[in-house]
Amino acid sequence: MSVNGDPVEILCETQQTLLDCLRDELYLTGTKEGCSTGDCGACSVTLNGRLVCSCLVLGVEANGCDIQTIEGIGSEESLHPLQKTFLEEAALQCGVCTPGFIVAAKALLDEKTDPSEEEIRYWLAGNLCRCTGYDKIIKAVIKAAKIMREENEQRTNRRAR
Amino acid sequence: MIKIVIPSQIACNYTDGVHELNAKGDKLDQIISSLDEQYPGIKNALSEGFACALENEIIHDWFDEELNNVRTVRFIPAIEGG
Amino acid sequence: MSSVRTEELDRLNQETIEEGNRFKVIGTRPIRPDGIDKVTGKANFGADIVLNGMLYGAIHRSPHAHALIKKIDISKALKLEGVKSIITHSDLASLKPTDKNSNVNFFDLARNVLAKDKVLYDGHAIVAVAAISQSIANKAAELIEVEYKVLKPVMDIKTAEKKSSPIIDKNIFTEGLSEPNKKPSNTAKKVEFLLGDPEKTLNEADIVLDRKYSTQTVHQGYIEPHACAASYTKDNQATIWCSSQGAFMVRAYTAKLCGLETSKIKVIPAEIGGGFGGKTTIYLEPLAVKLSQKTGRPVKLVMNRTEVMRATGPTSGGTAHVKLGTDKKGNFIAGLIELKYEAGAFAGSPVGLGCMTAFAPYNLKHVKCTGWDILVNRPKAAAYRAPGAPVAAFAVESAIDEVASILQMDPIELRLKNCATEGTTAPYGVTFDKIGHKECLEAGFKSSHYHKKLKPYQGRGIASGFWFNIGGNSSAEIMINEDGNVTVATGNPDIGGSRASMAMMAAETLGIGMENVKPIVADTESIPYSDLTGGSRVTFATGKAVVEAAMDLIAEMCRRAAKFWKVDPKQVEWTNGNAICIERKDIEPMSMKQIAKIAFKTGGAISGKANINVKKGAGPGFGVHICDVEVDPETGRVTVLRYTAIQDVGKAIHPSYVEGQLQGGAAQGIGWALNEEYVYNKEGNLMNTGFLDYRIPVASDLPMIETILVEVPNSGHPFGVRGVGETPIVPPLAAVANAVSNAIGKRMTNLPLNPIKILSEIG
Ligand code: FES
Ligand code: FES
Repeated sequence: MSVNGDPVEILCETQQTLLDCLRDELYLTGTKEGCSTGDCGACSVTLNGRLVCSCLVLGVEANGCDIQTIEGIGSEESLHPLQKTFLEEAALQCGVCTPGFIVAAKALLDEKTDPSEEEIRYWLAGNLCRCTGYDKIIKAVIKAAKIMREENEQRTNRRAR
Repeated sequence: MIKIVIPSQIACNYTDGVHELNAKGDKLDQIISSLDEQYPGIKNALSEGFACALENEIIHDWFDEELNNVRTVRFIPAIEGG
Repeated sequence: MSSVRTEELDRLNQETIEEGNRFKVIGTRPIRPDGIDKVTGKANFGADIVLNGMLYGAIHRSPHAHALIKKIDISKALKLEGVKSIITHSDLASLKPTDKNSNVNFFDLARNVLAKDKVLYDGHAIVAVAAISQSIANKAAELIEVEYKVLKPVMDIKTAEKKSSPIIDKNIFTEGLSEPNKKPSNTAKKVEFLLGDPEKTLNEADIVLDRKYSTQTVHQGYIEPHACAASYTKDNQATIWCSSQGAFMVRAYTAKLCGLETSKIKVIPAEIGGGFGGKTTIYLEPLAVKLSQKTGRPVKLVMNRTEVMRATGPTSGGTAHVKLGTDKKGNFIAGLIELKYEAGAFAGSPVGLGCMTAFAPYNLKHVKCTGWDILVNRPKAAAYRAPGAPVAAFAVESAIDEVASILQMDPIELRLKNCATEGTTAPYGVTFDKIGHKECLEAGFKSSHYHKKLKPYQGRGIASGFWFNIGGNSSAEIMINEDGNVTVATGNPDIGGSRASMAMMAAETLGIGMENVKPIVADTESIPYSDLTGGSRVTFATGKAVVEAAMDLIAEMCRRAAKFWKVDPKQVEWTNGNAICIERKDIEPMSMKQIAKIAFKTGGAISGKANINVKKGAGPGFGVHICDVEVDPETGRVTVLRYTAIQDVGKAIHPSYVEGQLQGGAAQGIGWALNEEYVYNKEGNLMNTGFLDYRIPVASDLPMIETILVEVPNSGHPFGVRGVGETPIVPPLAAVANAVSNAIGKRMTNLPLNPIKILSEIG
């Protein structure tokens, strides 16, 4: 399979989930486990572009797939707009839910550039955060959407010129 | 004279159920030591798990706090947090 | 500590309070120093640790709520290939019921982490195994065979109190009774707080509201399950990596349970994924240490969500019986409350704190608060944000709401009329200094939220809340690096952005920028003892330690500058991040960078430190919440339409994270009020062990949570800080219940207010 653009090959037991494979075999521990039953979203990754709970996908099912994890989104030098706005808006306290939220929110913004507050709330309803009461997370996503739209516009303008 | 109010668990074990005691002294440990002479063991008991309220402050790990202007010393459960 | 520093602190404090917002760093909203790691997935939490040669652990847990253990057979598990070691309670240090200190009973703790002779709740740990992989460890745990004699479970307070019910713990004799109990009982303790003569005064009241309330067991619901790794080496030293609310707590408790000297254990704090009080105790650490000791290899133990729900820290469900007497004008005359809290399987619910907080927001001369600590076959209650206070406040604030409607008075006005202010003596014996309850109520009354019109089936509820806030032991060390930047080390795990506030307080005191400060959470061998991160004490007490350490550092830098300039140290002053020679204008001021350069010449590396026990000045916290709900009469579903949390925060160091505390606490309280509860079947098995059916609020359940920060500076802190983390979970239970009651015109007294209860009321 491919993880964050890198080709990787791993051996896993049949009952191991994609989450286990990422964390225990590839040491990509940015993807977190909060429940292992698909209820908390801490393990969110994209599989062939689709948002999934990696705790509900078997490692073997991911064979040949393209996986994106938090480690593939932005880097210290060039943060993704969501990562920036999460920091600016103080959208994390303990931070254990944060990778999942960022992966999930990115999947939303990749699909929909101008979601309403309600759409964001429903999209992120599969991600649990116990610290923040969601307020600042929602604000961070709204702000990131705006930044991304502006960046897009600039890009299109540049191309048009 | 300073009024000392102790919790009921301590009262029933050491003072025959009397909740309010009186003692003289300038420092907290002094007056508790004097109480201990009267009710042996009470000092140790109060040192375990009890904070004490001195007018406007709750003191944990109480020791030789000054008792100027203190009229009542009240022992209360230690405060833990979440 | 030299007197100079104390004076200096007092001066700073005075200026702070007089001049208000004169700060450069404090009160601004910089990016948190550990932020990038946390948004890129690099931060290492408890479960992220990997060690060479590491084994994986698993735990066999009881399927019964109450049973005697007759036999444990580990032979099948031992035979499984890859299994390296198996331990039971007898592998832990042998402890006696008298092994306790002021915070914790180690005899109970040891019986909680691994059951001894008897299992006391569904999910009680019995055996721990270590194996070469997680799947083998899990399989081995399943192969453990335990023979039980099943006993009748005692699942609720009513049953526990019945004479005919089984006794959960034969060592428990009710404490605090005037006639000592001769027989063991499920009631562990009675506590009582008395002010004046409430019973007599109640008879003189014009209105007496007499009502009973109840709440259910709820869980802190942190998203990160408990996790740790331990490595025991041949020289009898152990190292533990874990996420907890206090590395020193883990060290002390684990040492006791493993029979090791405290100093033989080193605890390295990982990032912590939420705690809310639930990580102020231990579950896994002694097991990992013992398994590592037996195998000679590092062992990692991680709970899954089911284990977290079945066996770790819920907070007590409870009942409350309130009698509130007022005169015709709404002046509170007497208040009585009787609280009964579930302790879980071991004594120690926070009922005493419930009693102390119940009427604390109000000026009452006649109060009686009685509390009962009651054992039931549920997991041992652990701290949860403002332990004990929310249930008591739910009862008292609901009663006040009802009195307001009887008097046809505005509920804020009624509270304003009776609210505690400077000089009020609280029922627990403390006379308040300057506090902000009144200011919060006024801010609520002025808010636009409070005056918004409501439609049918909509209701508004308001409620106040109180928390003591505490100080305690904190240590801080600030080191100047060769480049002139500083590292600030403290011993308190950063659970919600405390690195940011520590760095900000250091930067402010030193007169340098945030970017020049690197805050770290040190391990137990790199910083002296510090109490837990909890009780809303870190920004206050550890913050104070940081400020004092910075003062200490400043004094040393001034001495070095004086030495370098060959002047009397008295002539050197610290202003805006520079050492300045007062008398000699010809001497150029020296910045920290320059001082770092002359450090070796003038005596060696430079650091400042403070190890303090902050006994005084924590400054109580008050909050007022306003909640609007809409009830769907068809389905009974409650929607929170609007929510405002108002709180006296003393001084907000980083306002965003202070707001975050208020919002998070409010959300947890809303969950407590509307959805969350432990559901057991008749046999005492927990039925909702996952987030699917133990439903905490999700993003689509909540509106934006508005916050109003009231700043009544706390004179006990150099910057005026009050703790903020606990208070916000105190008002929401009643705020929500009052809103629902007002929406449907029926008083709701039993939480959670799920659709079934609401439909049966409006039926
Ligand atoms: S760990 Fe996958 S959804 Fe919770
Ligand atoms: S920040 Fe702690 S769970 Fe979201």
